[in-house]
Parts: sequence; structure tokens; C-alpha cells
Amino acid sequence: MLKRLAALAVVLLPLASATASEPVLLAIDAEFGLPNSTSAQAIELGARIAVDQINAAGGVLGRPFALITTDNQSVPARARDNLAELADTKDLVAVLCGRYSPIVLETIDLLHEKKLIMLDPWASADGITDHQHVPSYIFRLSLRDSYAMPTMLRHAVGKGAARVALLVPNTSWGRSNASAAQLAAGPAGVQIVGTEWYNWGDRDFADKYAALRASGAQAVILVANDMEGSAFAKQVAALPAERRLPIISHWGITGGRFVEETGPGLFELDFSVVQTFSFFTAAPGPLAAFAATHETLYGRFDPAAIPAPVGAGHAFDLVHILARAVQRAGTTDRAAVRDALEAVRDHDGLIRRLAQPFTATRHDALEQSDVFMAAYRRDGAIVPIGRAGAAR
Amino acid sequence: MNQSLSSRITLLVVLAVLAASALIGGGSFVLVRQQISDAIDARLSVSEVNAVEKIESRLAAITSSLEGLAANRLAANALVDSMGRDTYLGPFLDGFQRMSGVAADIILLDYKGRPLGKLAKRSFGAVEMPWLAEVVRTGHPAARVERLGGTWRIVLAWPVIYSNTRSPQGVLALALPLAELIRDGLGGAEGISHHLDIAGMHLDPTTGEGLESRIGGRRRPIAAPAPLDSLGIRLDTEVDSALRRQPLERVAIYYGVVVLLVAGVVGVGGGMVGRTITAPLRSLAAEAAEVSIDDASGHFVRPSGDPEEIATLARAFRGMVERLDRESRALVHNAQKVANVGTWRWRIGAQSMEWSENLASILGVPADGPASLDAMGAALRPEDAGRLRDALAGAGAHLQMDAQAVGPPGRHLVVLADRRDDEAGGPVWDGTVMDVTALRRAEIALIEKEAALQAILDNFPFMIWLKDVEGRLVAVNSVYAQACGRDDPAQVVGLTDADVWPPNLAASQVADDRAVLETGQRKMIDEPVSLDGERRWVETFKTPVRDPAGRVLGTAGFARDISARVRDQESLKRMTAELSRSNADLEQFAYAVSHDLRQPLRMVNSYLTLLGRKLGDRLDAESTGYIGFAVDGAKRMDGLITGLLEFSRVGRAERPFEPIDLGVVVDGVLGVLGVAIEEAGARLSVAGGLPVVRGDEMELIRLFQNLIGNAVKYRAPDHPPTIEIGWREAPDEWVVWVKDDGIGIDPKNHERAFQIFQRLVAKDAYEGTGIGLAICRKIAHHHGGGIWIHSQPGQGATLLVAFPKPRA
Repeated sequence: MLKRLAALAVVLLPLASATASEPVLLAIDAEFGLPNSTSAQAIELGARIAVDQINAAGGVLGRPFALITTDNQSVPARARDNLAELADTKDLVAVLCGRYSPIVLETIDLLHEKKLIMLDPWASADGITDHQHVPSYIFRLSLRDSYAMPTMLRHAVGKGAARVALLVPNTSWGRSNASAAQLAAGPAGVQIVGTEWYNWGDRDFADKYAALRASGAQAVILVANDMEGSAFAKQVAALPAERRLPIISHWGITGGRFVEETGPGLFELDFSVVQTFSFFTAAPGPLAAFAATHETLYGRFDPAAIPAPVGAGHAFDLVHILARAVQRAGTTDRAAVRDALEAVRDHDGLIRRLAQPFTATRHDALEQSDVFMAAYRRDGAIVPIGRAGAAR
Repeated sequence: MNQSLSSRITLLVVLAVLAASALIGGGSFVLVRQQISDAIDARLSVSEVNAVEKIESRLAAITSSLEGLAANRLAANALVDSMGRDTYLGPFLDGFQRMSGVAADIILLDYKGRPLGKLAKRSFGAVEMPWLAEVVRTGHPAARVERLGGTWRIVLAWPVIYSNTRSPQGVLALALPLAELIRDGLGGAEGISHHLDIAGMHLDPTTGEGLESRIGGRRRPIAAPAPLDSLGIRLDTEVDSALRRQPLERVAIYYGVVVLLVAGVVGVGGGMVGRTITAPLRSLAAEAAEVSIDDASGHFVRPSGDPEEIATLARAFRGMVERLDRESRALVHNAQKVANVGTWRWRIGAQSMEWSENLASILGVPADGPASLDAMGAALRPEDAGRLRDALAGAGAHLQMDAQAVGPPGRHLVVLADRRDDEAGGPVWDGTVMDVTALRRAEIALIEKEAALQAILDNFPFMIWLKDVEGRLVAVNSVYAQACGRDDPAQVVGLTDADVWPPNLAASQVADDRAVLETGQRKMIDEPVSLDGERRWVETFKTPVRDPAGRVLGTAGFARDISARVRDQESLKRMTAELSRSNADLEQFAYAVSHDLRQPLRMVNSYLTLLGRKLGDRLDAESTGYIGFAVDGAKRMDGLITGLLEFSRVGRAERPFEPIDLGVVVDGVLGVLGVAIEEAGARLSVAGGLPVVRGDEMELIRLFQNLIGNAVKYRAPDHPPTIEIGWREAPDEWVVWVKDDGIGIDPKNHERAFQIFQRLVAKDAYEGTGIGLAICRKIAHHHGGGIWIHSQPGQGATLLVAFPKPRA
């Protein structure tokens, strides 16, 4: 951590002497060190592009905006230590989290004790924004499990599956989804006929899948990250076609190398994944700006080549909203910035125009209507189902 | 006198019994004491083994249980799920409150060794154990003895592997009170007590508390499984001294009583036996006193009873002596015949000769003819006869000479004799003549064989030897002799290894020979030896030598200097190790590239861009150009690093090969390159029926993307490209090619084209990193095939890739 700050200081030294001001800091604490992870990297990509645009427009408070990263390896204990250190860092206004809901859920108390703003571009457990702390320091521009489940269940109904079964992890994220599914089942006209729980690290799902089929399910709702998700998909793909049920997946799988790990069998499956953002349907104006900055920083922009688009898109919008809040607060004091975040209006985001992203009582910027289903293309790109080309 | 003999026999018997009793008693005492000691030692061993087995099996079961718990997905799950772990992990671990009968306390700790959730409230309390963080850092389980909650406990810690990171991120720690761990397992037999030494502490078996001093007695290490083995757990065993003393005292009393009883019985019995034994003597003496010679018949008579009894006895003895004499002579005669030996006696005074029947046969003279010195001389060569006569006439006391009989077949004889006095005091020569013809001939044949064998052995370029069972060298070749500093193999024969080799080498030779002799198995040894201050590697082969009956007579062996070969092997090994290390460094480098190089590069890029924008109009055209060059350079470097990363990733995905339809792959690639193909106005033809190969789909896509992409990119400036994708079948492989009509490649650069970072054209003319074809070759090799070029400058290029057919 200190090394990163030192490196940053060296890079910024000429700039600082020119502008006579220290940078305003934003951090990402996410699962950078996980083998095969693409989620933290996508979040960093979106955030860096936004930071570059903000700096190109003069920075914040007349000072440069700078990004630092810390690696929590998706382990809450490491995240707690990282956040405690970040909270004591001068001029740090907020932290972006990664893909893992348990990380945020387990640090809620610490964030509020330290008055550290957490911007959530991915983690989807309902409890992340539904907690007892007032005022809340956590702001999410991402999916909520309770939004995801109705969309996934309606998608199942669209496939003629009135009986579905759940395969969920034995974590707070899994419980959040199981409970969301029970609530959404009735309104969606679906019956939950079975639930199987697995532990992180499980690789053999044959028995669980057999149990789900035996329960009479016509489709499987999969809540998983890439490692378990690919192991499950591979096993189902290896079955004869008549024994393969449609798989409707939560989006944790999109944070790694799911396509490569699953292999060509993926395209033998009826496999769909819930999403809230796609570069193929992004708002044209911000998308053009995003592409231009991407071209400058990373080379040619290819929407299909960004492996975890939701991370990049959501982080991009969140950083822009944060910059406006800091500007509005006129200070890097986090309590003031927190208040200002609830007052930002009319943000033209990559995802869409957000009239008021956050209010004092609503810290979720997205709505049920933002949620849609997508599928993997053979080149690994995630494309919306039935919405291709639709500008939003 | 008779009464006196009987009494003396009785007395002697009693004394003998008493002496024997004393000896037996003393010996028995020693034996009994040893037996009692052995019996106690046996009980001790049994008790020790029982205690050790109990403790070992308990420790093994507990360790294995904790290892199993740490590997349970629930534990890893709980590392990231505070809301759930208290509801499922707590009750789950409560199921292990007793492990192998011992109260167990288990907690889960994070990567810094801090207890997690409500589990922290268990008996571990607030004691800080920073060594637990080491368990996460090293990934190795560990064990310590800690005082927790006022009680000494073994704390056993096992890393919990978190599936997402595939590395340890927590610790499952188990605390076991020492008192419970050792109490039930250590109950010894009567008079035997056991105690445990753990981590240098001597423990009271009832309280588990440390004792101030160690007891004496036996110590036995406990074979605890890792990591408990690091605690150096030992079992101390003590025996009560009364256990050895009391049985001896009881045995001594019983033995004294028995000896007294036996002496009394033997005294009475001895008197009776003495009288019974002397009764016939007394009777014979009485009879002999009455024998006399009858004057008329000259026969022995007795006034009463049988008058011939004594005379019959005398005749029987004479007959027996005569029979023995005859048999003895026959035996001597047969022995001489078998041994081919004849005996003779030359009476010096009487100048007369006597010889045995067999000597006549050896000399070839008639058996019934007269024996004489002349006859003996006539049977020998004249010079031998003369030497014999001279010797017999001389003053010597011993005679030994080789001689040969006359006439065919020229038998070899050995004459031996001693001069002495006969029964009457007259001087005689007593001698023998032995026919050694067969022996001599065998000796000559043996000498010839040995010479031939030696010649063969000396012609081998390595050391050869034969040793007897005592390790003495029986035969060696000249290479062996020279190796141990001798000129002639004969100088080595009869010596041992200790005589010819330095002490260390001799000791190892003796040990190897012993192993060969004891096992009867052959042995091949490669070992380094120091000879003349130089270290050499020697390959030695040793084998037992057996006679036809299978008895081991000694060992044979050969050895040769393989230093050059070993040096070559070591050099190869070093090179392989360096290569592996270098590969590992390269992989490490690739990872460093992915995170540590690309990120600062992006920052350089970002801030250069930022700087350019900030300074804006204040920069002149030249400075703007400089920044543009720097940004361009950073982007190209990012491209190079990305290419290098892709290069290093080939073959590392560990995905199993699957049947891949190259037709589908090429279709997909053409779709991806659609825009570039369209922009270039390329005409493409793809042969139908492209083969299905076993491979990695992602890598094959990359291969054809590079090949077709190159065909589009390196097109001729004056016409749109025409690209053909074709294939042919060979007996063992399929060859697939991508042919274009572009700028082509000079044959002298065909090999260079596949080397990493080798660009064959100016970067101004064609963009690229020089990695594409290097990746293609790595992919082709990963698939067990190859890649090559057919091309001339300006005439287009054909890139051909061979894929092996799967073996039936």
C-alpha cells in the first residue's frame, strides 16, 4: 500500500509542482490478485477512463484526481485491513469495491465507523444498501439481487419453465438470492421446486444437478462465480441433450474467464446471464467519449473485448458521479462528499441518464427496469438477448 | 576294603551333588535373575508399546480429523461469510467437541491469526498467537504448547485453503488440554509408570502440569504425525525396584530347600549304589582266588564251578587281538591303494629291503618278486636311482625327492623317508613312494589355463578381479594391478582390499563384498572415489562365484572409470535445471508483466496525455511531437508486453485437448477479421473438409487469426490480396496452409520469422510487434506439430502447419 502511494507520489511530483496542489484520491479495493479474475480489472479500466476524462476537464476542486488500488483477494479479513488503512489516507474521498458481496457485507460496520464512502459498481447482495446505519456511506450503481431474481424468473417463464430450481452458494450472497427468489416467485408465476446449496470451492455438482432435475425443475437458476459456475456448466454440457435444463445465471460468472474455463460445451447449453449494462446498448454520447479515451489509454476500443462490461460501465459512471459530488461539496471531507452524493442531479451516464442517482433514502442508482438477460457469443462477448442495437 | 570303597563312592556322590548344586545354584541364580529381568523388560516393553500406540493413534486420529476439517469446504466458506459461519460452522465444529476422547476446542482464524466471529469466544480467549499467521504465510501446519485459560494445551493449527485464491487465507486451530490427552493413554502395568515429555516439558499424567525434574528410566520417542512431530514428544517409563528384587528372594529360598532335600536323598541312594556296583568285583575276586593249573592237563581249573572260565576268557581276548590286526593291515593296504602310496623299510645294517604290496604295483615290479634296493632303483630313471642310493647311504635323517619311473608313460613319483631305529635298536629308513602323475598333469594344465585366462583378463580395458570368501584377491588383471600401483598382477594376488586401497575405499569394498556374499545377489554400484588425490566416478559390478553345487566360493567383479560419462550427465542435469529455472523465471516474468509492468505503463501513458492536455497551447509543435512519440512508444510497449504475455500463456491453460473442427475455427476467425479483410479487399478461398484435430480451441483460433491476419496485413502494395486456405493429408499428419500473394519472405529469414520480437519489415511500413509467428510456432509445438514457410520475396508466402493424427 505504502509502496503504491510512494510510486504515485513520484509520478505526480512534476504535476504537483506545476499545479501546486496534491491529488484528490480515489481507491479501488478489489479482488485483483485472484487467478483468472477480470472483474477488478474491468472496474479499474472504467474508473481510469473516467478519472482521465475528469482530469482532462480540469480535475476536481482544481486538483488532479488520482486512483490507487489495493488487493483484497476476495477475503474479508484482508479487505478490512486494507479499508482501515485507506480510511486514514489523506485526501482519499471514496473506495470502489469489487465483485464479492460478502466483502462489503462484512465491512459495513467498519466503513461507517471510519466514515469511509464505499461506491459499489458490482456486488449485488441486498444487504449492502439495506442496513441499519444512518446516514449510509455505501452507494451502489449496480444490480440488486431482489431486482435480478424477478428478471431471471420471468426469463424462465418465457422459456416455458414454470417450475424452477435454485443452485446457490452457502454464503450471505446465496442466502440473499434464495430469499429474493422466494419473494419474486409468486408475482412471476413460477414455483421454486428445489434448492441446492454448495460451498465455495466445490467442483462436483453432478449429485446436486440430479437432485434439481428430480425435483421436477424445468430450468435452473444458477447463483455462482466463474470457478464454480464453469464447473457446473461443463458437467451439464457433458450430459445428453435431453437431460440438459436451461440455465439462467446470476452475473458472478462474468467476473472471470468463464468462457475459456467452460470450453466449447458452453455453446451447447441454453445459457443466459443477467446483466444491467452492455456496451452494445450504451448511451451513444458517453460511449463515444469512453471509446475515445479508451483509444488514448489502452488502444483500439472493441466492445466485445471487454470481458466484464458491467464492472467497467458501472465504475465509469460512479466515478463521474463522485467527481461531481466532490466538486459540489467543495471539499474532500468525506461526510460532506457523502451528503453531496445524495444531491447530484441529471447525470448523463454510460448506462443511461440518471435524474437523481441517489437520495437520502435510496442508495441504489439502478432500478428493476435496468435489468435484462444476455448470452455469451462465441468470441466471449456478452450480448443482450432481444435488445441488440437498442440505444437506451 | 569293599565296605570302604562303597563308603567312598557314597561320599564322592554326595560331594559331587553338593558341588553340582552349588554350581547349578549359582548359574541358575544368574539365569533366573536374567529371566526375571527379561520378563520385566518384556512387560515394560508391552506396557510401553501399548502406551505409545494409544498416544500415537490418538494423535494421528486427532491430526487427521483436523486436516479433514481444514479441507472441508465449510471452513473455507466461513472465511468469507461472517453472517453464516456462526450458524453453520459453529454447530458443525461443536460436533467435534471431543476428538478421540479428548475435549477439543476448535476455532477459525483469519490470515493474520485473528479469531473470526463468535468462535473467538471459545477457550482460546484473548491469547495472541502470532505464529498462527505464519501457518497462513507458509501454508504448512504447525503445533505449539500454549497455556490457555490457565491450562497447558497443545495447539495444532492447519491452514485453510481458500478456493478462489487457491492459497491459505485462514487457519483452523485446535486446542487439546494436555492432562486429558495423556491421562487415559498412560496407565502402566503394576510397578510400571509412564510420563510424557512434550516440547521439553515433563508432564504429570494426572494434571498435565509440568514436573520439576525428569525421572530416570527408559525414554521412547512418540512417532507423532506432522506437525506434532516438531514438539519432540517422548514417553518416559519407570520401574519400581521391588519388582525386580522380590521374585529373586523367593527363588533363592525355594532353591536352598530343594538342594538340602536332594543331598539327603542322594546320600542314601549313593550308599546303595556303591554296594551294588562293588558286588560283582567282590564275587570275581572270590572266584579268582580259587583258580589253579591242573598238573595233568595243564588247563586252568577251579576246585568248584567251571574250571575253564578264566582260560576261555584269555583265549577270547587273543582271538580278538588277531582279528583286529588283520583288519588293520587290510585297512592300511586299501588306504595305500586309494592314495596311490606304497611303503618301504630299508634296514641299513642288514642291507635288506621290505615293501608293501602297493609299492610293487607303483614301481611296476612283480608283487611276488623279491624286494630290494636294486629292484627299486631299476624301476626309476638312473639319475633318480643314484640320488636315492646316495641319500640312503648318507648321514641325513630325512629324505624327500621327486622321481620318475622308467618307461612309458613316465609316471611322476615323490619319495619320502625318515631315518630312525627299529624295535630292536637297529637303524632303518622308513619311507613311502607316492604316485603323483595325475596331480602333476593337472598342475601343468592349470598353469596353462591360468596363463590363458590372465592373457584374456589383461586385454580387458577395465579392472577385473576374483576374491575368496575371506576377501583375499585370488586373481586380478593388469589394469587392476596398475590401478593399485603394482607392476604385476602376481604382486596383488593373496592381498586384501586393505592392503591395496586407501582405508575409505577399502572399507566400502569390504562392505559391498559382504553384502554380495550374504545376499548371494549381484550388485551394481556407481560411486565417487578418490584415487591419487583425484575424484573419479567408478562403475562397479560384483557377483557371487559358486561351485557346481551352488556353494559360494567368493566374489568376482569388474570396475571401470565412468568419470567422463558422469561429468556429461551432470553437465546435462545442470543445463536442464538451469533451463527449468530459466523457464520458471520467464513465467514469473510474464506475471510481473501482467500487473507490475502494464500498470505503470498505463500511468506513464495517462499522465503524458494529461500533461499534453494541461500544457495545451503552451507547447510548441516540436514538444507536442515529442509527447506524441512517447505516448506512441508506451502504447507499442504495451502491445509488446501483451504479445509477450500471450506468448507465455500458450500451453499453460492446462485445458484438455478436444476434437476441434478446423473448418469451424477458420470460419470464426474470418468472422473476427471481417472488417480487416473487407478493408483490404481480399479474395479468400477456403478448401472444404478441413480436418478435425485434437487441440485447444482458443490456441487454434489464435493460430489462424495470426496466420490469416498476416496474409491480409503483409499484402503487396499494388494489388488486393488473394488468400487461399488449404490442406492435405499425409500418413501421420494433416498439413494445413495459408497462402497469400503478398510481399513474401526471403528464404534466409524463414527461421528468423518465428523468433520472438524479430520483425522482418520496417515498422513504418507495417505495424506489428514481431511476436505473432513466434506464438504460432509455440502453438504448433504445443499441439505436437510444426510450422514452416515456403516463400520468395515478392512472390507471396505459404505458411504450413502440421497437426499429428491421433494414434489409434
